Amino acid sequence: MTEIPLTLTDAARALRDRELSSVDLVTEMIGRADALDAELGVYLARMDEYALVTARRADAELAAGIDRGPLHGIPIGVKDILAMAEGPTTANSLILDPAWGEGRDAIVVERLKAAGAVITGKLTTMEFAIGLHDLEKPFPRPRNPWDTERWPGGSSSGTGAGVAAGLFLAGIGTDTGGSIRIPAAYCGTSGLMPTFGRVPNAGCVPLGYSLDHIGPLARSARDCGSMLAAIAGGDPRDPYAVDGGPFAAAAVLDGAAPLTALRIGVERANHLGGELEDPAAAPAFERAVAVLKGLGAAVTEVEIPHYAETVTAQMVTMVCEAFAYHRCDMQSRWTDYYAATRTFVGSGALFSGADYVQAQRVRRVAQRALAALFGDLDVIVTPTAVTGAPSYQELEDRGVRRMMGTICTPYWDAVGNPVLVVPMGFTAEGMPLSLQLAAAPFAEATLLRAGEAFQAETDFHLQRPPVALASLA
Amino acid sequence: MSAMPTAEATAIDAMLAAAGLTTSAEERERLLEMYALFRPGVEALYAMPEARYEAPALVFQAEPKLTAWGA
Repeated sequence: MTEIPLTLTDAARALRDRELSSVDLVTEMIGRADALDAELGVYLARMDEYALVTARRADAELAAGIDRGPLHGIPIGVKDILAMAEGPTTANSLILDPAWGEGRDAIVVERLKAAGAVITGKLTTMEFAIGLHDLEKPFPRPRNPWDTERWPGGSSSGTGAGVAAGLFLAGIGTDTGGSIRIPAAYCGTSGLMPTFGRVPNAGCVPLGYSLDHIGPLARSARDCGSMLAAIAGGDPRDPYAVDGGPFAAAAVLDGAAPLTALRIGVERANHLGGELEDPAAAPAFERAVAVLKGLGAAVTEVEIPHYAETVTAQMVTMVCEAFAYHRCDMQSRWTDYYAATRTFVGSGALFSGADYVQAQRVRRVAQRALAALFGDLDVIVTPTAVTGAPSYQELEDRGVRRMMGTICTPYWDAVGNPVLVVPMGFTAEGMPLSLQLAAAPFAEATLLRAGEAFQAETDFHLQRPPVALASLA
Repeated sequence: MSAMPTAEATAIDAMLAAAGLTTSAEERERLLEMYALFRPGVEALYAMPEARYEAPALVFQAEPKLTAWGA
C-alpha cells in the first residue's frame, strides 16, 4: 500500500519530489472511501472517475513543469451546498430545485479547479447548513470517525469527518454559526473561518446572507492557509466580497518569527465554568495557553465585549435571513423539510423587522468594541466547545439546545472576524477538544502563524481516529 | 396544549398564521418553548445603551455592485 502523507503540505511536497503521483493519492482515497464511507456517511456524491481524470491531468502538468501551487493534484472534498458543474447540488435536502446551479461552478469551486485541486465529491451537510440529521429523509447519516455513535458536528459534517478519516486531505465547509469550527473541533481537525467577505459566496446556497463564511477544514493550520490562498479574493458576483489584499500562505508562514511579539487575550469569562463543561476541557485549554506562552506570546486575561447580546444578534440574524429564503417552500412543503430545520428556520417567523434591524445595530456595537480590544491584542483565544462531540442518543434525549450551550462559535459570525480552530487535546472518552483563535478582520496571517507555531509544539492535529487506522490495517 | 391560551401562545399562533406555516401540535409547542427562551434576550438588544444611536450593520448602495452569478 502506498504511504500517504497526513497533511496537504506534505503531500504537495511528495508530489513534487516524485515520491508519489496524484493518481496514487486519489486511488488511495477512493479505496478508503470504499472501506469507510458506508459507515461514516461522508459523501453525498462521489466523483471517482472525474477525480482520476483530474489527477492524471495534474500528474501530466507537474511532469511538464506546470505547477499551479500547493493544491495541484491534491484530493479535496466540497460541502454539498456549493455548486459544481459535474453534478447536482442537494444541500442535503428534498427541497432545493435540482436545476439550481446546474452545470455551473461556485466561485470557490472555480478557484479550486484553477488551482489544480482534485475534487473527489460532494459532502454531507445538515439540511441547508442548519439543524440536525433526520432519519426519515433519504440522505446518509454522518458519523464521527472517533466514535461512530457520535455526531461529527455540523453543518460541515462530511468535511470534518472526511478530513479526520483521511478520505481527502482537505475540504470546503461553510460557517454561519460555527459550521466549519464545530465539525473541525468534534472531529479533531483544523478549520479556518476567514474574515466575512474574504471568500466570495456566490454559487453557495445561502443560510444567513450576512453571516455565511466559506472556508477550509484540513489537518493543519498551514494546510488551511494553502486552501485560503486558493479561494480568497474579491469577485463582482458577490456584493459582500472584498479583496483584502492577496493572501499567500507560504509567504506568511515560511521563516515566520516566533510568537514573542504576539499579544494574546485569554477569554475564560464567557466560556468556562458552566455545568455542562467536560472535566477535560478547562485543563486542555490551560495547557494550550501555556504552550502559546511558552512560545513567547504575551498573555493577558480579557472579556469579549457584549457577548450574550451578540450571540442573540447572531441567532436573530441567521433565522430571519434563512426564513426569508425558505418561507415560500415552508408554506407549501413543510414536511419535506427535516424536523430540526422546520423549527430552527421556522422560528424566523417569530421575529419582527425591528428585531432584525436591532440585531444589526448590536452587531455594529460589538464590532466597534471588539476593534478597540484588538487595538491592544493580536489574538483572542477561547475553547471552540467545552465538550467533545455529543452522541446521537444524547442529542435525541436532551435536545440540541443543551448542545448549543456548550459551543463558543456564533459570536464570531456576528462580528465577521477571522477564526482558526486547532485540536488541543482529548476528553477521557477519547473525543477531540479544540482551541479557538480569533483576530482582527483580515488578520488571517496572524492566526495561521500562531496555529503553525502551536502545531509545531503539539501533535493533536496528527492523531488519527480508530476507524481510519483500522481501514489501513 | 393549555386550554386557555397565553398571550404568548396567541401571538405565536398569529405570527405562524401570518407566515403561512402549518405546524403540528408538537412543533407549535417547541416553537412556544423557543419563543419563551429567546424573547428576553431579544428584548435585551433594545436595552443596550450603546445601541441607542448606532447605525445597523446593513449596507445599501444606490448602484448595485453585482454581476449575477452564472450570468
